[in-house]
Amino acid sequence: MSRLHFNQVFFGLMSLALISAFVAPPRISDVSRIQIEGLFIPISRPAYRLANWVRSRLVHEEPADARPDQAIAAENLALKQEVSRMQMEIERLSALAGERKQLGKFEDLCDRFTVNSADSGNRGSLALGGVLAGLHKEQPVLYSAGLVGWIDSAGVGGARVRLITDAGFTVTGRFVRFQNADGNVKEVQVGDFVPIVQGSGRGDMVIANLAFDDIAKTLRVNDWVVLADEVWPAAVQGMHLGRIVSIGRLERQPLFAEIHVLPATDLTRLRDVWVLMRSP
Amino acid sequence: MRWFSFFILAYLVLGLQAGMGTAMQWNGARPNLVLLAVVFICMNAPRDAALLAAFILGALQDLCGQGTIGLYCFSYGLVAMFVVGVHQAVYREHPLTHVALALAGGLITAMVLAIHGWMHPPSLSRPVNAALAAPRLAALPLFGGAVYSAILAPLVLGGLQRIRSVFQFQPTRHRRGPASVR
Repeated sequence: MSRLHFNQVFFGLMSLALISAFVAPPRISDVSRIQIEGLFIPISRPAYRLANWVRSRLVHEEPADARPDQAIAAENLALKQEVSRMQMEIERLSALAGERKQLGKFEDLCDRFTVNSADSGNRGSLALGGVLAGLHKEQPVLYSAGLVGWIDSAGVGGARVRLITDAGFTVTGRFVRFQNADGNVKEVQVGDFVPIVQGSGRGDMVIANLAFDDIAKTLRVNDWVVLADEVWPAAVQGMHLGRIVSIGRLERQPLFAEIHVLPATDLTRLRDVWVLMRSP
Repeated sequence: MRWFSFFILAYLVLGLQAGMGTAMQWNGARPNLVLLAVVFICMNAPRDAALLAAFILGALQDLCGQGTIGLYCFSYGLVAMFVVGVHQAVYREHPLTHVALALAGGLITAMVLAIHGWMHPPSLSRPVNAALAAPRLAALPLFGGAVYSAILAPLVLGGLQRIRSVFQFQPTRHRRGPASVR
């Protein structure tokens, strides 16, 4: 190919890339997207495991809960007792209602998928591997401690999960607090606020739609934020999104609060996730 | 350039970037191994092959991530044009060259990504409140990533320079100047 000819071709390619990135709306440029993450599994999966293993050895993560171990163990015990008591209650009620067959374990509604890698660019997402049949857009993705995000795209070659911490990911929730009363741990809703929880793109989430004066005396650091969003299936309502790590005033609008919410673990380092495949 | 070797390199760096990029991040700054591969190819390959290879690497990285299609293609195209323009004037084996080229390439990429993030914030998964805009992607980690990649460059590019015979880069032909005509 002559130099002049190549220059024209390269200029054309660069122009296409420029238009796709800066001018065309995503719904048009995404038409050309094909799922090719699956091709890189032989390299990306062992690299993902190895890098996370090395990081867990080298980087000491601050514990999410700063209380003494004894206090946490005592609370765990109380929670187990409470779960056991509630399980019995559910069984009694379901037997009464004759709907026992319809009630199954939550795990039965989900399928497990292995995480192959995180995002190769600068966004918050995970690539899933394995047999990806049945996956489609906007299915909820969960892990042992709460909500991970939803399926953003799925194809033959792979599926991508958009994390709740990715910039622009938006859900509504509610605040809850656990209180120990008469030996039982109870979940109590804090206020009747409807927080809009947005991923910040930096591994956490931000709530910026509540007036500071309204929440200042009500909310506390370490309160939980759980999912309460009618767009999501009923089975995942109440799933843990994260805990409040800071409450302050929003810099650009000081009358509003800026509440930072951190998930229970770094979502970009999960090894397996569960996808809600069936409804109860 | 031997294209088969190039595609093996592309496969390896894209797999490693997807697998290790997030785990290696520090304060949100991620190293970009694909960018280092772009710099390596552009330092050694003839102009046309280098530009095309950089564009292909960008396209593959776009397809592997969740970002906008065309963003890395365009960024790496610009990086390739810069590196190809200066590669005759630099000592390719010197670690400082690797650091400087990787830093310059990283800054070009970060600039393009930052401008894009400023112009087109990430889309909201669903519009709950019209008054709330999606948070913009922070620009600082992008520039931090450029520095991080530059720090890794002597290691990665030094290693790749040792095996560059695998790629069978053809020497770039120089145009005869007035001195040689005489």
